[in-house]
Amino acid sequence: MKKIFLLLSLLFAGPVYAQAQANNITSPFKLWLLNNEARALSSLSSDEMLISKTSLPFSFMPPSAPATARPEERLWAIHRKFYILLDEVQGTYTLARQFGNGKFSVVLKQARPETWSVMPLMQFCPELVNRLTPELRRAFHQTLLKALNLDPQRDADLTTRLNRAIKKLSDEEFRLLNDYFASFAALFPADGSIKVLRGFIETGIKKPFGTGIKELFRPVGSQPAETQGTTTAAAPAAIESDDPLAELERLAQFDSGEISTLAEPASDSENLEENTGGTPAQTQPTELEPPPPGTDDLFKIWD
Amino acid sequence: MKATPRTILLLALLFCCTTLGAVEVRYAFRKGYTYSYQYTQQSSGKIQTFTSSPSAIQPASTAEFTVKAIDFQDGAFIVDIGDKSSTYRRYLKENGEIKGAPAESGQTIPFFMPLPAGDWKVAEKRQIKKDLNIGGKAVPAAWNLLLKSVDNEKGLAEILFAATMKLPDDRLRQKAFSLKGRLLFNLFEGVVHQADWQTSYKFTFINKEFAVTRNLWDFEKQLSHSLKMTGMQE
Repeated sequence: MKKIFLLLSLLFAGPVYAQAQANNITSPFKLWLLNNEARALSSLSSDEMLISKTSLPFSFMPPSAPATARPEERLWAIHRKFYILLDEVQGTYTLARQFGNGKFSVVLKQARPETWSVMPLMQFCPELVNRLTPELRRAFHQTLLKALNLDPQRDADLTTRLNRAIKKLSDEEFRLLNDYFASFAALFPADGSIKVLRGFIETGIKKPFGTGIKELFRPVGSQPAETQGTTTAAAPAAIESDDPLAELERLAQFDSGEISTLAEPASDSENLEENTGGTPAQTQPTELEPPPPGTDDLFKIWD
Repeated sequence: MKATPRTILLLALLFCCTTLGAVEVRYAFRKGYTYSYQYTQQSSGKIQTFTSSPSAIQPASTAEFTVKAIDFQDGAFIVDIGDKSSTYRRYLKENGEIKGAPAESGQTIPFFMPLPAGDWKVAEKRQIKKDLNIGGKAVPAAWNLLLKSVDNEKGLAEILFAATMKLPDDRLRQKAFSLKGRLLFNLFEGVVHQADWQTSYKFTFINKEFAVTRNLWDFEKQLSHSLKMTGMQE
């Protein structure tokens, strides 16, 4: 029994780990750079110790020596900027992957979870429902954003967030980062994460991505009914047809078989193909459209 | 009997010739004297990494220190070396080697440059080798000295010196270290009058994966040192 349990654990551990690593595009490069730093620092330190044993020729001189120039400190300072940028890129990429296509917000608005809490009141105090629902909706939305660690100021526009992070590097520093990327890609050609990372930064600077996340910051009912209906219905199709992430992931998958976890699920690519083919494949969002005039909406969400 | 004066004359000439071309360079701190020195150090460094080359310069900093000769016992000068913050007692042999350093017990004493024993002829090279034990590994190091000239009027001997040390390296970490300098030794007083030397360190860090090799970082550091005696008083 124990063996079966162990076997099952091992079988499940693989996919779980793969899923956890699916969005991780910066770790291999960061680990490579950190490892090189550590090796260089170790060499520099041991050499400095050895050199200090011979650089003072005279025994009548005091042992304390003045501080010497340390150009490596400037390089490490630039690297620290890189790490901050890479963390920001990783955060942006993860958000774009998770919420950028707008599907999550569509599902959320379809589910209307805030309404379930007022269901028992419908029979006893229906008048309370109309008053409680907007408040519950707002509270649920705020709690959800907090739980997902989403900040409207920071995450509403992922393109701006990425560009703001990149602009913290000078031109020379950005060139150096690109040189590091090129070296890493040459040294580890089988690693597809660097292709996604480079592509994400390059395309992220030029054209907007992950615009579907904006819908997540807009609670249901915060827009006029007609605009909301059209937005939620049309957004995913428009986003997916111009989503640079999907292209990057396909590129990475094509170049390396090892990073299949980075690839979009098959259904997404199918949807993309269908969308590019000209036939709108979005059937679900039609359920979000407001009820026809005259129909009594139970929760009046579309007011 | 006739040959005796000639022999004496010949021997005297030979003695003069040898003493004119050779000197004995050794420390001779005078008991009760205080020698003042000024030491200046300046350093610079840069890293070449692709098209970027961050650099750093440490401006010249000057420190003064004194050497108080307390006594000479058992073939060693007992001296107190003091700067602004602290004083170190050392027992120095006449050739500059350390016999004892009670204030630095537990520390690894540097490989100081020893002066060659006995007569030293002009243009003669001397080499003193030693293995530095760092982290359980022996690192070969050597001091190379050359007596370039002797000014008998001023009593100054000009000595060129260089240190060589084989820093541990491999295919991916290539290193080079050099130290070169010039020393003016006061033969009358038996102390260092002035010395200037430069150290240079290079370290190339390479990444290699299978057939792909990338030169990642080239570290370069230069240090300039200058030592000058500023006074001697009883």
